Amino acid sequence: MIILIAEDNEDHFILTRDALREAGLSDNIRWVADGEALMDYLLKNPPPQLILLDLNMPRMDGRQALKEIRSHPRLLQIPIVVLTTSKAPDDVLRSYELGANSFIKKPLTYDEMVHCMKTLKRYWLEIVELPKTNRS
Amino acid sequence: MTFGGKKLSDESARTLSLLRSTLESTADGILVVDLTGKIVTFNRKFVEMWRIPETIIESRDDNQALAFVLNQLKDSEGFLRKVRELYSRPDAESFDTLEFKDGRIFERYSQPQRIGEKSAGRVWSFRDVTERKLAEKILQKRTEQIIRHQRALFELAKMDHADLDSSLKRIAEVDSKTLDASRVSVWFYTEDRSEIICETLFRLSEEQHEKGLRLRARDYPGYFHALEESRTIAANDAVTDPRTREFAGDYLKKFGITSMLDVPIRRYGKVVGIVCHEHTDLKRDWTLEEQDFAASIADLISLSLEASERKKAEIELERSNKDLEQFAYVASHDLAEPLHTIIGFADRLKKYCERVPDPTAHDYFDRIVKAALRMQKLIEDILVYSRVTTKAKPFEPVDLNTLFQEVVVDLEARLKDSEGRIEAAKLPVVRGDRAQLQQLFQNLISNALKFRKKEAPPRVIVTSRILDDRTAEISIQDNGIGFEEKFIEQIFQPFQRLHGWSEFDGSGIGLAICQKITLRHGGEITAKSKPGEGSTFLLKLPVLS
Repeated sequence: MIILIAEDNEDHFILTRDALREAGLSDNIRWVADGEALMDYLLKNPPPQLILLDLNMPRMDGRQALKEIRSHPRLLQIPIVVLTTSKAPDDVLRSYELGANSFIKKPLTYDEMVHCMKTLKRYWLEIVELPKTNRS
Repeated sequence: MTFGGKKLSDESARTLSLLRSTLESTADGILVVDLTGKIVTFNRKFVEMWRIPETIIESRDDNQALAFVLNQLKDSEGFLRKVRELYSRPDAESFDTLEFKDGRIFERYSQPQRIGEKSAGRVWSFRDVTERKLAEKILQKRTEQIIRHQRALFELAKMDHADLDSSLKRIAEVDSKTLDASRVSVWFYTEDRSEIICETLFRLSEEQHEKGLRLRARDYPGYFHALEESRTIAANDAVTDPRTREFAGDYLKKFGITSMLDVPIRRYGKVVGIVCHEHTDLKRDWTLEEQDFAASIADLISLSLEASERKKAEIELERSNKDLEQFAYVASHDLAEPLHTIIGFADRLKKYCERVPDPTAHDYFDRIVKAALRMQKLIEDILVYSRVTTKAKPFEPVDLNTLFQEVVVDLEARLKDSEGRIEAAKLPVVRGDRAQLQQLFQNLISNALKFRKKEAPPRVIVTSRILDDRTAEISIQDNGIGFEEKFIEQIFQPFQRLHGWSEFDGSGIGLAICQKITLRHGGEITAKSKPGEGSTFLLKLPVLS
């Protein structure tokens, strides 16, 4: 089981990673720092079980990455949770339009972050059953 | 006295003499003929008007007289037709107008002469109406001219004046065609007022525009002085007119200009330019109407200047709004990220330190986190405040009743916690930006819940009344802590707070957002309050009629 974090800010990656570990997902966390690296990873590796995607990243931002993933037949079913500091109504709407499965504003405190990761884990990794087609 | 070879009685002689003197004392030319058309008598005026030579009069030859008369008329056939027609109807009267080849115009009136019941002949009278007709024609021409001027001005007033260059071109062209002026140009002063530069010159013969000519003020002091002093400079003879003769040497000669009609363009009372009408060929007298028209054109150019500058300002404002929006977004995002890091790691560090039983360390970490959280809230609120203008949506009808219900649902948790109660009367439908109005009510009601008294559960009463056809006043009354009314100005200013952070949190921007939203909707917001006696916020909003 692999969770892929696309996040340009290393601090935020560390906090997210630690929160995920505390939520009981200690292994198989992968990190990419921009949209291009994300696409590169996805095209060269087996699909992860979940992508946590930041919107504002250098080179290729999260919106563009969403668009490319959702137009790729092998990748379009990977659950994507947008995790960002923005909660601008435009960003929320646009993310869903582009095919995000969920939009979460990064919780401020670490406790909230852990709580949030536990919820994500329970829903996307334990409850949801994804169609088997196109999945390796 | 004899008449027609007959001897007359005194009585008849007196009548005849009276008739003769009456005949001669009228301003009309009179001719009397018998039933066969033979001339019976006429007055001197008749001979003068028709300029009939003595020889013809003496000859008493009717045909010769007729031929002479006919020769002067534009339409001799028509004249004869009328004469013949009247001979066949001896009792008829007639009235018509005769036009002469030399331009004179007579009115002709004819009436039968009767003796008892019997027709004996016909009286023709003629009146020279040349001058009257001329005056009428001039008046008509002037009227037509005024109408033409009005039409031209109306056409020019209708057009879009946002682009100065194209509106000046259009104005010069219409002006030139309307006044039939060979060259019409618009000039503006340079910044230092040492020169005027031609912004556009329309030449009627080629229907061409050009620009760029410059004239130095110090080379033509008389002209530039006259500009400051005059409403219009109508130089019928541009070469000799003291106001324009400085141009005689070079300018006028070069372009063959004989008459000029120049009007200063004023803005806020100051001459900023000139509209010039230059006439080539024979000298021309500029009529008062034409001068009026030219002055109106100058006013129109002044309005054009105004309109284009306003348009420029609008574009600039729009650009700076976009910049601000971009700035707000970048600032909020880029400031928020490091804050997240600070909060996150401070939080984590605190956890690590839980093993160390040092309350001071815990307190410090708490303070770091709290300060960072407060800053985070500030950043978010700045963004919301700037979005009132940058993310404005077009107005639509908004039913405040449903909107209010949604606000209450959003605040449900807080209502429950505080055991608060909200009562709302029937609210109007207003015109506005739905999302912003929701924000407005949300802020006001959550304030009412927030600034509550500790001892009593919050209670909010929302009522509304129609002030006139267009405005509704909505009152939001609470039973909270209230405030001193001397702070009324302050509470609507961004980041102005009346309480310490430890008492009530918040960035102090909520009411500033309310005011900004209300103003954008063409409304007003005020408040009434006394410490300890609750507050009432009053909103005036335009209603949907």
